Amino acid sequence: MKWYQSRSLVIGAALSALFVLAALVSLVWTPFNYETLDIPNKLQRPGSLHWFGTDHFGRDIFSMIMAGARISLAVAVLAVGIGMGIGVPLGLWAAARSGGWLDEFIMRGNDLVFAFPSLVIAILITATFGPGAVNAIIAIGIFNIPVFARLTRGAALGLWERDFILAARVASKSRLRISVEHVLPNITSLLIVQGTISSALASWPRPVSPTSGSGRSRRAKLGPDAGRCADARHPCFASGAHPRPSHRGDRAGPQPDGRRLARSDGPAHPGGAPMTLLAVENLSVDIHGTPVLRDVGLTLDKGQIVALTGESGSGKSMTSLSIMGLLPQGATARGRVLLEGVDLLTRTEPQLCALRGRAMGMIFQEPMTALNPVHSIGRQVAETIRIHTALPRAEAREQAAAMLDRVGLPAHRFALSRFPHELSGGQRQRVGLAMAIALRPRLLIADEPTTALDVTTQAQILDLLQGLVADFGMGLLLITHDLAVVSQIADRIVVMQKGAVVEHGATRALLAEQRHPYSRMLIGAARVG
Amino acid sequence: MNLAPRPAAVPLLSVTGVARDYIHRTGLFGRATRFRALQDVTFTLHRGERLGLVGESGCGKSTLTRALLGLDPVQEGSITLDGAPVFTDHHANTAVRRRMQVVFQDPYGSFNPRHRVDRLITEPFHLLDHPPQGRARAAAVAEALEAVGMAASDAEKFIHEFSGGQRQRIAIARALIIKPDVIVFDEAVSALDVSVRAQVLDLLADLCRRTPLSYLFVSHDLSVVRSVTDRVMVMQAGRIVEAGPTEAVLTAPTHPYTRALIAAAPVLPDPQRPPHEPASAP
Repeated sequence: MKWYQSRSLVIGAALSALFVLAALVSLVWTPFNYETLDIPNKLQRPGSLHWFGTDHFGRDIFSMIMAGARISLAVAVLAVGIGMGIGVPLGLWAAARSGGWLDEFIMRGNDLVFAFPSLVIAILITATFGPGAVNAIIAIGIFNIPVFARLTRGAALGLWERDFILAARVASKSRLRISVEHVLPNITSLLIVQGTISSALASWPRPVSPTSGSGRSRRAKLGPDAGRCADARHPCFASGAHPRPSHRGDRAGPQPDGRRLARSDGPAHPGGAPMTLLAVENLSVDIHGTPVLRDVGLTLDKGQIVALTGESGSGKSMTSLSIMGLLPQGATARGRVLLEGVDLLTRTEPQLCALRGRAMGMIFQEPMTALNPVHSIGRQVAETIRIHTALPRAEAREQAAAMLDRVGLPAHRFALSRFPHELSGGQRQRVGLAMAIALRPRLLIADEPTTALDVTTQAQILDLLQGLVADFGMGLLLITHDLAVVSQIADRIVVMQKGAVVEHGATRALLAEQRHPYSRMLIGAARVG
Repeated sequence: MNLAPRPAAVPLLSVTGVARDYIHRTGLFGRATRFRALQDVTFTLHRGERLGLVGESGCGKSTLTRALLGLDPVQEGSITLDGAPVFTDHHANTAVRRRMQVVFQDPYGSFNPRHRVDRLITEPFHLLDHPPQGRARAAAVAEALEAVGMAASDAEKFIHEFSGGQRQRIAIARALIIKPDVIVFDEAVSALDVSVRAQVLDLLADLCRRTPLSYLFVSHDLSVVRSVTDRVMVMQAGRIVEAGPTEAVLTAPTHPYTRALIAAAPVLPDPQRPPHEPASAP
């Protein structure tokens, strides 16, 4: 997309250009002299002569705005320029020497500026150098330095851990050079946003009074930290109960008894034949008109493990998201997804929300993304329970402890007060699992649950999954690209390629003989690897 | 997979009695405690040898890799390449470093998204005193890309235009471009799909047949190591607990930890043999 095709960019650029133009033109021409008092014509309405009217002293408001734009612009550009020009290099330097005395020195210096009341500094500067726009600019600029230094350091620290920086270090590039070549280009978008906010705040106050001007920078100070803490991860997401504006909400189907689904706990069909838990029939999904799934069909019985396999991009995850009703915006689904005979595709978002977590749970590849890093594991599991039931806090906590115990994290060794970062990858996956099965869902979807783990941990998690399926009588849909992983525990295998099911069958039969060339290739690859 | 035959043993990379400590401080005035991540690690990588290193996460593989590359100092022991230390007074030894390259695990994180492929893979040129310029540089880029099965014209593209497997090929091209003596593959195929992984491993075997490479292949997955190494070391809690020819270690492991690792690795059941237990499919 060319830049002029972006509507918001064009409108924004036009407004900014108008502002700059007004400031520039005011240097040579304004409709009236903005300082000339004209008391008889005070408080005039906007009209052909005075476009924006006049003020209490009869001065032309439009002329004043044009002249004022000049000062506002200067303050914005220069104050942010000072902040960025000094703050960004300081932040980059601190990040490159992270943990060293230089880092400490720079950051504690920043804290000093932060801690010092901005009003006092502004008064100090004004008292020393006299009032005026230049001094206001300097004062605001000084307060912008730590804002940019902190922002830059925070963003740069994250980058220093990345492999491409490591690769540059292996190439013996100096820290300075890496900062300029690799770190800076990758944080520009962040700096541009902060710069825009800071300049807006800097130019906001009338710069005639430096005190009010510098006071603004205090507000700007909130910028970087507030932004960084924003976290979309919600504890209920691990159980799939993620509220999401529905594209389906407006065509609600008949209102069935959602409760029947949610309540029938455990083996609800005593003595009966194994009932089909999940049936996906002719499921086709388009995203903005591009087909991503074509006529996908699969069935899953209670207590059964079905592996859904294929390469990345084959539609495995899209199938699981369709089942959970978590398709991305712009996606439309056709066909039927029957969970115990009820078509999920016709459910409204609130109905689905009640089902997720209760009737179906989900665990993901990277357990850390499903856990909230600032909440303890006990709290996260308990919260999942409390979202769906009216249990009192203490009881929910008790249940959470029992559930964590069931997944192999007994409370005497793994206190409920532990945080996700204090656990290993396998232990985090166990927490994710505890959240997903806390309400004993009858369908569990595991999306590459062991791909991020090493072999021994993988074996333990697979073992645990198998045990849970047997104990709870759940149906497990196991999504993986690695056939070897599932060959030991899956009852049936469904092979997908390019959004369609190309082969399915009982595990042993499918491994013994593959009819489709793609399955043959996939199994061949697993044998070589 | 067929690797080329191994040439006669000439020591290239020597690791002797290496120990690496991390210092933990608990609380503001808490006492600093030492955590020994590597203990008495000793091995030799010979010229033309393909050496594997396996162990679970947290066993010290990455710590060893970082020490080998001269990114971190070690507290005891020495790491030398052809007799020259990789780390000398607080800095990595540039003369040694230009003879070593690395391929990282994450095909998405190991490239600067803002640079084009041609700039990305020529980064190691920074190590050379007289890096090729102009036409020679373009020729080197084309040669490296073609060696890994990519097109010379890919040099103009950005990294986001490539799939995970292609990115890992580009990472290998970056490692090959200065023709290093030793390449360290740090979990280089762990993030790839099985079929893509097989292609990358094929590429590696293919490269070995064309030019003798010496490398250390670090992985948590024994089955991967099996196909691309002559010799393998098994690491547990910072120590090397077993080492030997790959096939011998994998078929007749002596250390219990190796046996546990092998038992944990999932394998496709052999369809020729009758099943031990009937599958519970309806």
